[in-house]
Amino acid sequence: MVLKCWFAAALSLLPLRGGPVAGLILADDGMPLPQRTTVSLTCAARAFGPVGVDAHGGFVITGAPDPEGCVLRINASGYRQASLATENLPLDQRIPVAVLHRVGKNDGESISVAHLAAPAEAVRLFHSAVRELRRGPRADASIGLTHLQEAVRTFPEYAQAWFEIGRLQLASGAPGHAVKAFGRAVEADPWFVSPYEPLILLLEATGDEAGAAAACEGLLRINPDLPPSCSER
Amino acid sequence: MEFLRTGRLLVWSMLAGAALLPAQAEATSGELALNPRGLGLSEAAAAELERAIAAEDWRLAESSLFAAVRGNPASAGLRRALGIAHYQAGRHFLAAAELKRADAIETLDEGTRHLLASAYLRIGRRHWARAELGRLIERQPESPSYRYSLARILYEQQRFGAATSELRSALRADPEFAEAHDLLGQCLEGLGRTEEAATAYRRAIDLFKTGHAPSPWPLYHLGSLLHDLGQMEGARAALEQAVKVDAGHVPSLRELGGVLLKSGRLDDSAKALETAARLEPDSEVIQYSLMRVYRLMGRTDLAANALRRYQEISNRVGQ
Repeated sequence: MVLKCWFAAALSLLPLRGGPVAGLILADDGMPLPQRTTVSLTCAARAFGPVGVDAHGGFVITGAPDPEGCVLRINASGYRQASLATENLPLDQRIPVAVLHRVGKNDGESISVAHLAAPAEAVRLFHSAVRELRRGPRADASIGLTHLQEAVRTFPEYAQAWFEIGRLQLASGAPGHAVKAFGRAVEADPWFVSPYEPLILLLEATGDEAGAAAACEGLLRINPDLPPSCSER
Repeated sequence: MEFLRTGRLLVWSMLAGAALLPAQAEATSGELALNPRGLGLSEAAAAELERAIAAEDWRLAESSLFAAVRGNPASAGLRRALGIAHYQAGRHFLAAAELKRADAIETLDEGTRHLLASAYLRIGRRHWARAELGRLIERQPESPSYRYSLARILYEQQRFGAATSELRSALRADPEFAEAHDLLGQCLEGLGRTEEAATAYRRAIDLFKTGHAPSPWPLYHLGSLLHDLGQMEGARAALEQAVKVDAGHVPSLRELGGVLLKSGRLDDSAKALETAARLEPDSEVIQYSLMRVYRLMGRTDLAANALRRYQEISNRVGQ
Protein backbone atom coordinates (compact mmCIF):
# COMPACT_ATOMS: atom_id res chain seq x y z
CA MET A 1 0.00 0.00 0.00
CA VAL A 2 2.71 2.42 1.04
CA LEU A 3 4.75 1.62 -2.07
CA LYS A 4 1.71 2.24 -4.25
CA CYS A 5 1.15 5.61 -2.60
CA TRP A 6 4.76 6.61 -3.11
CA PHE A 7 4.41 5.51 -6.70
CA ALA A 8 1.33 7.69 -7.18
CA ALA A 9 3.11 10.65 -5.59
CA ALA A 10 6.17 10.14 -7.76
CA LEU A 11 4.00 10.00 -10.86
CA SER A 12 2.19 13.15 -9.90
CA LEU A 13 4.65 15.38 -11.64
CA LEU A 14 4.65 13.45 -14.90
CA PRO A 15 2.86 14.94 -17.90
CA LEU A 16 -0.46 13.32 -18.80
CA ARG A 17 0.13 12.53 -22.50
CA GLY A 18 1.42 9.03 -22.98
CA GLY A 19 2.00 8.56 -19.24
CA PRO A 20 0.14 6.79 -16.50
CA VAL A 21 -2.96 8.38 -15.04
CA ALA A 22 -2.60 8.78 -11.30
CA GLY A 23 -4.52 10.67 -8.70
CA LEU A 24 -6.35 10.81 -5.41
CA ILE A 25 -9.99 10.26 -4.56
CA LEU A 26 -11.86 11.46 -1.48
CA ALA A 27 -15.25 10.75 0.03
CA ASP A 28 -17.46 13.71 0.85
CA ASP A 29 -18.47 12.34 4.24
CA GLY A 30 -14.89 12.38 5.50
CA MET A 31 -14.74 8.60 5.71
CA PRO A 32 -11.99 6.42 4.24
CA LEU A 33 -12.93 4.93 0.87
CA PRO A 34 -14.32 1.40 0.85
CA GLN A 35 -11.66 -1.23 0.15
CA ARG A 36 -13.30 -2.31 -3.07
CA THR A 37 -13.20 1.13 -4.70
CA THR A 38 -12.24 0.79 -8.35
CA VAL A 39 -11.05 3.26 -10.96
CA SER A 40 -11.11 2.64 -14.70
CA LEU A 41 -10.23 4.65 -17.76
CA THR A 42 -12.21 4.50 -20.99
CA CYS A 43 -10.64 5.82 -24.17
CA ALA A 44 -12.99 5.48 -27.14
CA ALA A 45 -13.69 1.74 -27.25
CA ARG A 46 -10.73 0.72 -25.06
CA ALA A 47 -10.90 0.31 -21.33
CA PHE A 48 -7.98 0.34 -18.92
CA GLY A 49 -8.23 -0.98 -15.40
CA PRO A 50 -10.13 -1.25 -13.21
CA VAL A 51 -7.56 -0.70 -10.51
CA GLY A 52 -8.01 -0.40 -6.77
CA VAL A 53 -7.05 2.48 -4.49
CA ASP A 54 -4.53 2.55 -1.67
CA ALA A 55 -5.30 3.46 1.94
CA HIS A 56 -5.12 7.16 1.08
CA GLY A 57 -7.40 7.01 -1.98
CA GLY A 58 -4.47 7.00 -4.44
CA PHE A 59 -4.63 5.12 -7.74
CA VAL A 60 -2.48 4.59 -10.82
CA ILE A 61 -3.67 3.40 -14.23
CA THR A 62 -1.02 2.48 -16.73
CA GLY A 63 -1.14 1.26 -20.29
CA ALA A 64 -3.21 3.98 -21.94
CA PRO A 65 -1.07 5.22 -24.86
CA ASP A 66 -2.71 8.66 -24.88
CA PRO A 67 -4.99 9.35 -21.93
CA GLU A 68 -6.23 12.64 -23.37
CA GLY A 69 -9.88 12.57 -24.40
CA CYS A 70 -10.59 9.67 -22.05
CA VAL A 71 -13.04 9.35 -19.17
CA LEU A 72 -12.14 8.25 -15.68
CA ARG A 73 -14.83 6.30 -13.83
CA ILE A 74 -14.82 5.65 -10.10
CA ASN A 75 -17.02 3.08 -8.37
CA ALA A 76 -17.29 2.66 -4.64
CA SER A 77 -19.95 0.81 -2.77
CA GLY A 78 -22.22 3.23 -0.91
CA TYR A 79 -21.23 6.20 -3.07
CA ARG A 80 -22.52 7.57 -6.33
CA GLN A 81 -20.45 6.65 -9.33
CA ALA A 82 -18.23 9.54 -10.39
CA SER A 83 -16.75 10.21 -13.80
CA LEU A 84 -14.37 12.85 -15.00
CA ALA A 85 -12.97 13.73 -18.43
CA THR A 86 -9.19 13.55 -18.37
CA GLU A 87 -9.08 17.13 -19.70
CA ASN A 88 -10.45 18.24 -16.34
CA LEU A 89 -7.93 16.37 -14.22
CA PRO A 90 -5.97 18.69 -11.95
CA LEU A 91 -2.55 19.60 -13.28
CA ASP A 92 -1.01 18.73 -9.93
CA GLN A 93 -2.05 15.18 -9.22
CA ARG A 94 -1.81 15.71 -5.48
CA ILE A 95 -5.08 17.63 -5.86
CA PRO A 96 -7.90 15.10 -5.54
CA VAL A 97 -9.47 14.27 -8.91
CA ALA A 98 -12.87 13.40 -7.52
CA VAL A 99 -14.90 13.58 -4.35
CA LEU A 100 -17.40 10.75 -4.07
CA HIS A 101 -20.88 11.61 -2.87
CA ARG A 102 -22.33 9.34 -0.25
CA VAL A 103 -25.62 7.76 -1.31
CA GLY A 104 -28.42 8.52 1.10
CA LYS A 105 -26.34 10.88 3.23
CA ASN A 106 -26.78 14.37 2.11
CA ASP A 107 -27.77 17.87 3.00
CA GLY A 108 -25.39 18.03 5.89
CA GLU A 109 -27.73 16.30 8.26
CA SER A 110 -25.62 13.31 9.07
CA ILE A 111 -22.22 14.60 7.98
CA SER A 112 -20.29 17.26 9.84
CA VAL A 113 -18.94 20.30 8.06
CA ALA A 114 -16.00 20.27 10.47
CA HIS A 115 -14.21 17.48 8.62
CA LEU A 116 -13.63 19.88 5.74
CA ALA A 117 -11.29 21.92 7.88
CA ALA A 118 -9.58 18.98 9.56
CA PRO A 119 -5.81 18.85 9.06
CA ALA A 120 -4.39 15.83 7.25
CA GLU A 121 -2.99 14.23 10.39
CA ALA A 122 -6.36 14.35 12.16
CA VAL A 123 -8.05 12.86 9.10
CA ARG A 124 -5.44 10.10 8.96
CA LEU A 125 -6.11 9.21 12.61
CA PHE A 126 -9.86 9.30 12.09
CA HIS A 127 -9.58 7.04 9.05
CA SER A 128 -7.37 4.61 10.98
CA ALA A 129 -10.02 4.43 13.68
CA VAL A 130 -12.81 3.85 11.16
CA ARG A 131 -10.81 1.15 9.40
CA GLU A 132 -10.21 -0.59 12.72
CA LEU A 133 -13.87 -0.39 13.72
CA ARG A 134 -14.96 -1.68 10.32
CA ARG A 135 -13.14 -4.97 10.95
CA GLY A 136 -16.34 -6.35 12.42
CA PRO A 137 -15.87 -9.03 15.08
CA ARG A 138 -12.07 -8.70 14.78
CA ALA A 139 -12.19 -4.97 15.57
CA ASP A 140 -10.44 -3.74 18.68
CA ALA A 141 -12.58 -0.89 19.98
CA SER A 142 -9.82 0.34 22.28
CA ILE A 143 -7.49 0.89 19.30
CA GLY A 144 -10.29 2.74 17.48
CA LEU A 145 -10.95 4.87 20.56
CA THR A 146 -7.26 5.72 20.95
CA HIS A 147 -7.03 6.86 17.32
CA LEU A 148 -10.17 8.95 17.72
CA GLN A 149 -8.89 10.56 20.91
CA GLU A 150 -5.65 11.42 19.14
CA ALA A 151 -7.67 12.84 16.25
CA VAL A 152 -9.59 15.22 18.53
CA ARG A 153 -6.39 16.13 20.33
CA THR A 154 -4.95 17.14 16.95
CA PHE A 155 -8.14 18.89 15.88
CA PRO A 156 -10.52 19.65 18.76
CA GLU A 157 -13.29 20.79 16.38
CA TYR A 158 -13.48 17.34 14.78
CA ALA A 159 -17.21 16.79 15.42
CA GLN A 160 -17.37 13.46 13.59
CA ALA A 161 -14.56 12.08 15.73
CA TRP A 162 -16.27 13.27 18.92
CA PHE A 163 -19.47 11.60 17.76
CA GLU A 164 -17.69 8.29 17.16
CA ILE A 165 -16.02 8.58 20.57
CA GLY A 166 -19.46 9.07 22.11
CA ARG A 167 -20.82 6.01 20.35
CA LEU A 168 -17.91 3.85 21.45
CA GLN A 169 -18.18 5.05 25.03
CA LEU A 170 -21.90 4.44 25.05
CA ALA A 171 -21.35 0.92 23.71
CA SER A 172 -18.72 0.27 26.38
CA GLY A 173 -21.14 1.24 29.14
CA ALA A 174 -19.75 4.67 29.96
CA PRO A 175 -22.76 6.99 29.42
CA GLY A 176 -21.19 9.81 31.41
CA HIS A 177 -18.21 9.97 29.04
CA ALA A 178 -20.52 9.49 26.07
CA VAL A 179 -22.66 12.49 26.97
CA LYS A 180 -19.54 14.65 27.19
CA ALA A 181 -18.32 13.43 23.79
CA PHE A 182 -21.71 14.01 22.13
CA GLY A 183 -21.77 17.45 23.75
CA ARG A 184 -18.35 18.24 22.30
CA ALA A 185 -19.57 17.09 18.86
CA VAL A 186 -22.54 19.46 19.02
CA GLU A 187 -20.37 22.26 20.32
CA ALA A 188 -17.85 21.75 17.51
CA ASP A 189 -20.50 21.68 14.80
CA PRO A 190 -24.01 22.75 15.86
CA TRP A 191 -25.30 21.77 12.40
CA PHE A 192 -24.23 18.13 12.67
CA VAL A 193 -27.45 16.29 13.38
CA SER A 194 -26.19 12.81 14.35
CA PRO A 195 -25.05 13.49 17.95
CA TYR A 196 -28.23 15.33 18.97
CA GLU A 197 -30.56 12.39 19.43
CA PRO A 198 -28.27 10.25 21.63
CA LEU A 199 -27.30 13.40 23.52
CA ILE A 200 -30.93 14.32 24.18
CA LEU A 201 -31.79 10.78 25.27
CA LEU A 202 -28.81 10.60 27.61
CA LEU A 203 -29.52 14.02 29.10
CA GLU A 204 -33.17 13.09 29.65
CA ALA A 205 -32.13 9.79 31.23
CA THR A 206 -29.93 11.61 33.71
CA GLY A 207 -32.68 14.11 34.53
CA ASP A 208 -30.86 17.04 32.94
CA GLU A 209 -34.00 18.64 31.53
CA ALA A 210 -32.36 22.00 30.88
CA GLY A 211 -29.53 20.37 28.93
CA ALA A 212 -31.98 18.27 26.93
CA ALA A 213 -34.09 21.34 26.15
CA ALA A 214 -31.02 23.25 24.93
CA ALA A 215 -30.01 20.32 22.71
CA CYS A 216 -33.57 20.12 21.37
CA GLU A 217 -33.41 23.79 20.51
CA GLY A 218 -30.25 23.16 18.48
CA LEU A 219 -31.79 20.20 16.71
CA LEU A 220 -35.02 22.02 15.90
CA ARG A 221 -32.98 24.80 14.36
CA ILE A 222 -31.66 22.26 11.86
CA ASN A 223 -34.94 20.55 11.19
CA PRO A 224 -38.25 21.43 12.86
CA ASP A 225 -39.55 17.94 12.08
CA LEU A 226 -36.92 16.23 14.22
CA PRO A 227 -37.49 14.62 16.63
CA PRO A 228 -41.15 14.47 17.73
CA SER A 229 -40.20 14.40 21.43
CA CYS A 230 -38.50 17.79 21.03
CA SER A 231 -41.51 19.29 19.24
CA GLU A 232 -43.69 18.32 22.20
CA ARG A 233 -41.62 20.30 24.67
CA MET B 1 -20.80 31.89 -14.25
CA GLU B 2 -19.52 35.03 -15.75
CA PHE B 3 -16.22 36.56 -14.91
CA LEU B 4 -15.00 40.01 -15.70
CA ARG B 5 -11.55 41.19 -14.92
CA THR B 6 -10.80 44.78 -14.17
CA GLY B 7 -7.14 45.14 -13.37
CA ARG B 8 -6.47 42.86 -10.45
CA LEU B 9 -10.10 42.57 -9.51
CA LEU B 10 -12.02 39.45 -10.20
CA VAL B 11 -15.71 40.20 -10.36
CA TRP B 12 -17.68 37.17 -9.50
CA SER B 13 -21.30 36.67 -10.32
CA MET B 14 -22.78 34.86 -7.38
CA LEU B 15 -25.38 32.50 -8.71
CA ALA B 16 -26.91 31.81 -5.36
CA GLY B 17 -28.83 28.60 -5.45
CA ALA B 18 -27.57 27.64 -8.88
CA ALA B 19 -27.13 24.13 -7.63
CA LEU B 20 -30.74 24.04 -6.59
CA LEU B 21 -32.36 25.32 -9.74
CA PRO B 22 -29.62 25.47 -12.36
CA ALA B 23 -31.72 26.89 -15.14
CA GLN B 24 -32.86 29.76 -12.99
CA ALA B 25 -29.40 30.96 -12.16
CA GLU B 26 -29.96 34.66 -12.42
CA ALA B 27 -29.77 35.69 -8.84
CA THR B 28 -27.56 38.22 -7.20
CA SER B 29 -24.06 39.34 -7.83
CA GLY B 30 -21.09 40.02 -5.65
CA GLU B 31 -17.48 40.84 -5.98
CA LEU B 32 -14.43 38.94 -4.93
CA ALA B 33 -11.00 40.37 -5.19
CA LEU B 34 -8.23 37.92 -5.98
CA ASN B 35 -5.01 39.80 -6.06
CA PRO B 36 -1.96 37.59 -6.79
CA ARG B 37 0.34 40.41 -5.65
CA GLY B 38 -1.15 40.41 -2.17
CA LEU B 39 -0.54 36.77 -1.35
CA GLY B 40 3.11 36.91 -0.41
CA LEU B 41 4.15 34.94 -3.49
CA SER B 42 7.47 35.33 -5.26
CA GLU B 43 7.50 37.69 -8.24
CA ALA B 44 7.59 34.76 -10.66
CA ALA B 45 4.77 32.87 -8.92
CA ALA B 46 2.59 35.99 -8.70
CA ALA B 47 3.18 36.70 -12.40
CA GLU B 48 2.30 33.12 -13.33
CA LEU B 49 -0.88 33.31 -11.27
CA GLU B 50 -1.79 36.62 -12.85
CA ARG B 51 -1.39 35.11 -16.30
CA ALA B 52 -3.47 32.08 -15.34
CA ILE B 53 -6.30 34.30 -14.04
CA ALA B 54 -6.14 36.52 -17.11
CA ALA B 55 -6.41 33.44 -19.34
CA GLU B 56 -9.10 31.94 -17.07
CA ASP B 57 -6.89 28.89 -16.79
CA TRP B 58 -8.15 27.84 -13.38
CA ARG B 59 -6.45 24.44 -13.44
CA LEU B 60 -3.13 26.24 -13.72
CA ALA B 61 -4.16 28.74 -11.02
CA GLU B 62 -5.20 25.99 -8.60
CA SER B 63 -2.03 24.07 -9.32
CA SER B 64 0.25 26.99 -8.51
CA LEU B 65 -1.82 28.00 -5.47
CA PHE B 66 -1.87 24.40 -4.23
CA ALA B 67 1.94 24.38 -4.27
CA ALA B 68 2.00 27.75 -2.51
CA VAL B 69 -0.36 26.55 0.23
CA ARG B 70 1.80 23.49 0.84
CA GLY B 71 4.71 25.85 1.36
CA ASN B 72 2.74 28.12 3.70
CA PRO B 73 -0.20 26.20 5.17
CA ALA B 74 -0.96 28.83 7.81
CA SER B 75 -1.72 31.54 5.26
CA ALA B 76 -5.45 32.28 5.24
CA GLY B 77 -5.00 34.44 2.14
CA LEU B 78 -3.42 31.64 0.12
CA ARG B 79 -6.05 29.14 1.25
CA ARG B 80 -8.80 31.58 0.34
CA ALA B 81 -7.25 32.10 -3.10
CA LEU B 82 -6.92 28.34 -3.59
CA GLY B 83 -10.58 27.94 -2.59
CA ILE B 84 -11.58 30.45 -5.26
CA ALA B 85 -9.41 28.68 -7.86
CA HIS B 86 -10.89 25.27 -6.96
CA TYR B 87 -14.37 26.76 -7.26
CA GLN B 88 -13.59 28.18 -10.66
CA ALA B 89 -12.09 24.86 -11.78
CA GLY B 90 -15.39 23.19 -10.87
CA ARG B 91 -14.05 21.40 -7.80
CA HIS B 92 -16.66 22.68 -5.39
CA PHE B 93 -16.01 20.25 -2.56
CA LEU B 94 -12.33 21.16 -2.50
CA ALA B 95 -13.31 24.83 -2.71
CA ALA B 96 -15.58 24.45 0.31
CA ALA B 97 -12.87 22.63 2.26
CA GLU B 98 -10.20 25.20 1.47
CA LEU B 99 -12.46 28.17 2.25
CA LYS B 100 -13.46 26.50 5.52
CA ARG B 101 -9.79 26.09 6.42
CA ALA B 102 -9.14 29.73 5.55
CA ASP B 103 -12.09 30.71 7.74
CA ALA B 104 -10.62 28.73 10.64
CA ILE B 105 -7.38 30.72 10.35
CA GLU B 106 -8.90 34.14 9.73
CA THR B 107 -12.59 35.06 9.49
CA LEU B 108 -13.66 35.24 5.87
CA ASP B 109 -14.81 38.49 4.33
CA GLU B 110 -18.48 38.61 3.33
CA GLY B 111 -17.96 37.99 -0.37
CA THR B 112 -15.86 34.91 0.27
CA ARG B 113 -18.34 33.61 2.83
CA HIS B 114 -21.02 33.99 0.18
CA LEU B 115 -18.82 31.94 -2.16
CA LEU B 116 -18.46 29.32 0.58
CA ALA B 117 -22.25 29.17 0.84
CA SER B 118 -22.45 28.75 -2.92
CA ALA B 119 -19.86 25.95 -2.82
CA TYR B 120 -21.93 24.20 -0.15
CA LEU B 121 -25.00 24.46 -2.35
CA ARG B 122 -23.13 23.01 -5.26
CA ILE B 123 -22.14 19.96 -3.26
CA GLY B 124 -25.68 19.53 -1.96
CA ARG B 125 -25.06 20.73 1.58
CA ARG B 126 -27.99 23.06 2.08
CA HIS B 127 -27.82 23.07 5.88
CA TRP B 128 -24.23 24.21 5.81
CA ALA B 129 -25.07 26.91 3.28
CA ARG B 130 -27.93 28.01 5.50
CA ALA B 131 -25.56 28.39 8.43
CA GLU B 132 -23.16 30.56 6.41
CA LEU B 133 -25.97 32.71 5.04
CA GLY B 134 -27.32 33.05 8.57
CA ARG B 135 -23.94 34.46 9.61
CA LEU B 136 -23.97 36.88 6.68
CA ILE B 137 -27.49 38.04 7.55
CA GLU B 138 -26.48 38.59 11.17
CA ARG B 139 -23.84 41.00 9.92
CA GLN B 140 -25.98 42.56 7.21
CA PRO B 141 -29.64 42.13 8.15
CA GLU B 142 -30.80 44.46 5.38
CA SER B 143 -29.06 42.64 2.53
CA PRO B 144 -31.75 41.44 0.09
CA SER B 145 -29.35 39.14 -1.75
CA TYR B 146 -28.38 37.18 1.38
CA ARG B 147 -32.01 36.86 2.42
CA TYR B 148 -32.95 35.77 -1.11
CA SER B 149 -30.19 33.12 -1.10
CA LEU B 150 -31.38 31.85 2.26
CA ALA B 151 -34.98 31.81 1.03
CA ARG B 152 -33.99 29.63 -1.91
CA ILE B 153 -32.52 27.07 0.44
CA LEU B 154 -35.56 27.18 2.72
CA TYR B 155 -37.79 26.76 -0.34
CA GLU B 156 -35.80 23.71 -1.42
CA GLN B 157 -36.23 22.32 2.08
CA GLN B 158 -39.97 22.97 1.66
CA ARG B 159 -39.98 25.43 4.54
CA PHE B 160 -42.27 27.74 2.64
CA GLY B 161 -43.36 29.88 5.59
CA ALA B 162 -39.80 30.67 6.65
CA ALA B 163 -38.79 31.28 3.03
CA THR B 164 -41.74 33.66 2.58
CA SER B 165 -40.66 35.59 5.63
CA GLU B 166 -37.09 35.98 4.30
CA LEU B 167 -38.41 37.08 0.91
CA ARG B 168 -40.74 39.67 2.46
CA SER B 169 -37.69 41.11 4.24
CA ALA B 170 -35.69 41.09 1.00
CA LEU B 171 -38.51 42.84 -0.83
CA ARG B 172 -38.88 45.48 1.88
CA ALA B 173 -35.24 46.37 1.20
CA ASP B 174 -35.55 46.06 -2.58
CA PRO B 175 -39.17 46.09 -3.83
CA GLU B 176 -38.04 45.68 -7.43
CA PHE B 177 -36.14 42.44 -6.86
CA ALA B 178 -37.80 40.44 -9.64
CA GLU B 179 -36.30 37.05 -8.73
CA ALA B 180 -37.51 37.50 -5.15
CA HIS B 181 -41.09 38.09 -6.35
CA ASP B 182 -40.84 34.97 -8.52
CA LEU B 183 -39.59 32.85 -5.64
CA LEU B 184 -42.21 34.38 -3.34
CA GLY B 185 -44.83 33.16 -5.81
CA GLN B 186 -43.43 29.62 -5.61
CA CYS B 187 -43.41 29.73 -1.80
CA LEU B 188 -46.98 31.03 -1.66
CA GLU B 189 -47.98 28.28 -4.07
CA GLY B 190 -46.36 25.81 -1.70
CA LEU B 191 -48.51 27.24 1.10
CA GLY B 192 -51.64 26.87 -1.06
CA ARG B 193 -52.10 30.63 -1.36
CA THR B 194 -52.60 30.48 -5.11
CA GLU B 195 -54.12 33.91 -5.71
CA GLU B 196 -51.28 35.65 -3.90
CA ALA B 197 -48.83 33.42 -5.78
CA ALA B 198 -50.27 34.50 -9.13
CA THR B 199 -49.99 38.14 -8.06
CA ALA B 200 -46.34 37.63 -7.12
CA TYR B 201 -45.59 35.97 -10.48
CA ARG B 202 -47.30 38.82 -12.35
CA ARG B 203 -45.23 41.35 -10.42
CA ALA B 204 -42.05 39.42 -11.31
CA ILE B 205 -43.10 39.29 -14.97
CA ASP B 206 -43.66 43.08 -15.01
CA LEU B 207 -40.30 43.73 -13.38
CA PHE B 208 -38.47 41.43 -15.78
CA LYS B 209 -40.14 43.30 -18.66
CA THR B 210 -39.00 46.70 -17.47
CA GLY B 211 -35.69 46.62 -15.71
CA HIS B 212 -34.16 43.19 -16.29
CA ALA B 213 -33.19 40.85 -19.06
CA PRO B 214 -36.40 38.95 -19.82
CA SER B 215 -36.81 35.62 -18.09
CA PRO B 216 -39.21 32.81 -18.98
CA TRP B 217 -39.32 31.52 -15.40
CA PRO B 218 -42.10 33.62 -13.82
CA LEU B 219 -44.18 33.13 -16.97
CA TYR B 220 -43.63 29.39 -16.70
CA HIS B 221 -44.51 29.40 -13.02
CA LEU B 222 -47.67 31.41 -13.66
CA GLY B 223 -48.62 29.17 -16.59
CA SER B 224 -48.13 26.03 -14.49
CA LEU B 225 -50.17 27.47 -11.65
CA LEU B 226 -53.05 28.47 -13.94
CA HIS B 227 -52.86 25.03 -15.58
CA ASP B 228 -53.24 23.40 -12.15
CA LEU B 229 -56.17 25.70 -11.42
CA GLY B 230 -57.84 24.70 -14.71
CA GLN B 231 -57.52 28.19 -16.20
CA MET B 232 -56.38 26.92 -19.59
CA GLU B 233 -56.55 30.17 -21.56
CA GLY B 234 -54.47 32.08 -19.04
CA ALA B 235 -52.05 29.18 -18.77
CA ARG B 236 -51.63 28.97 -22.53
CA ALA B 237 -51.05 32.71 -22.86
CA ALA B 238 -48.38 32.73 -20.13
CA LEU B 239 -46.61 29.67 -21.49
CA GLU B 240 -46.65 30.94 -25.08
CA GLN B 241 -45.15 34.18 -23.79
CA ALA B 242 -42.46 32.19 -21.96
CA VAL B 243 -41.56 30.40 -25.18
CA LYS B 244 -41.42 33.75 -26.98
CA VAL B 245 -38.94 34.99 -24.38
CA ASP B 246 -36.86 31.80 -24.67
CA ALA B 247 -37.67 29.43 -27.53
CA GLY B 248 -35.51 26.76 -25.92
CA HIS B 249 -37.21 26.80 -22.53
CA VAL B 250 -38.04 23.12 -22.18
CA PRO B 251 -40.19 23.30 -19.01
CA SER B 252 -42.47 25.84 -20.71
CA LEU B 253 -42.66 23.81 -23.93
CA ARG B 254 -43.51 20.68 -21.98
CA GLU B 255 -46.17 22.43 -19.93
CA LEU B 256 -47.57 24.14 -23.01
CA GLY B 257 -47.84 20.75 -24.72
CA GLY B 258 -49.93 19.53 -21.79
CA VAL B 259 -52.20 22.60 -21.80
CA LEU B 260 -52.78 22.37 -25.56
CA LEU B 261 -53.51 18.66 -25.25
CA LYS B 262 -56.18 19.31 -22.64
CA SER B 263 -57.59 22.08 -24.84
CA GLY B 264 -57.94 19.59 -27.74
CA ARG B 265 -55.31 21.33 -29.90
CA LEU B 266 -53.49 18.12 -30.68
CA ASP B 267 -51.34 19.34 -33.59
CA ASP B 268 -50.07 22.33 -31.61
CA SER B 269 -49.51 20.14 -28.55
CA ALA B 270 -47.45 17.68 -30.61
CA LYS B 271 -45.39 20.54 -32.07
CA ALA B 272 -44.55 21.93 -28.63
CA LEU B 273 -43.66 18.50 -27.27
CA GLU B 274 -41.61 17.58 -30.34
CA THR B 275 -39.57 20.76 -29.89
CA ALA B 276 -39.10 19.91 -26.21
CA ALA B 277 -38.05 16.36 -27.12
CA ARG B 278 -35.47 17.66 -29.59
CA LEU B 279 -34.02 19.91 -26.90
CA GLU B 280 -34.15 17.29 -24.16
CA PRO B 281 -34.06 13.88 -25.86
CA ASP B 282 -33.58 11.98 -22.61
CA SER B 283 -36.72 13.18 -20.87
CA GLU B 284 -39.05 10.28 -20.22
CA VAL B 285 -41.88 12.66 -19.24
CA ILE B 286 -41.80 14.34 -22.63
CA GLN B 287 -41.79 10.99 -24.49
CA TYR B 288 -44.74 9.81 -22.43
CA SER B 289 -46.70 13.00 -23.19
CA LEU B 290 -45.84 12.63 -26.88
CA MET B 291 -47.13 9.07 -26.86
CA ARG B 292 -50.46 10.25 -25.43
CA VAL B 293 -50.82 13.01 -28.02
CA TYR B 294 -49.93 10.72 -30.94
CA ARG B 295 -52.44 8.11 -29.75
CA LEU B 296 -55.19 10.71 -29.63
CA MET B 297 -54.17 11.84 -33.12
CA GLY B 298 -54.38 8.24 -34.34
CA ARG B 299 -50.65 8.23 -35.20
CA THR B 300 -50.01 4.74 -33.87
CA ASP B 301 -46.55 4.39 -35.42
CA LEU B 302 -45.32 7.59 -33.80
CA ALA B 303 -47.02 6.64 -30.53
CA ALA B 304 -45.23 3.29 -30.56
CA ASN B 305 -41.90 5.00 -31.18
CA ALA B 306 -42.50 7.42 -28.31
CA LEU B 307 -43.47 4.54 -26.02
CA ARG B 308 -40.32 2.66 -27.00
CA ARG B 309 -38.19 5.75 -26.27
CA TYR B 310 -40.00 6.24 -22.96
CA GLN B 311 -39.26 2.63 -21.97
CA GLU B 312 -35.63 2.89 -23.05
CA ILE B 313 -35.09 6.02 -20.98
CA SER B 314 -36.96 4.62 -17.97
CA ASN B 315 -34.91 1.43 -18.04
CA ARG B 316 -31.69 3.41 -18.28
CA VAL B 317 -32.69 5.65 -15.38
CA GLY B 318 -33.71 2.65 -13.30
CA GLN B 319 -30.38 0.85 -13.80
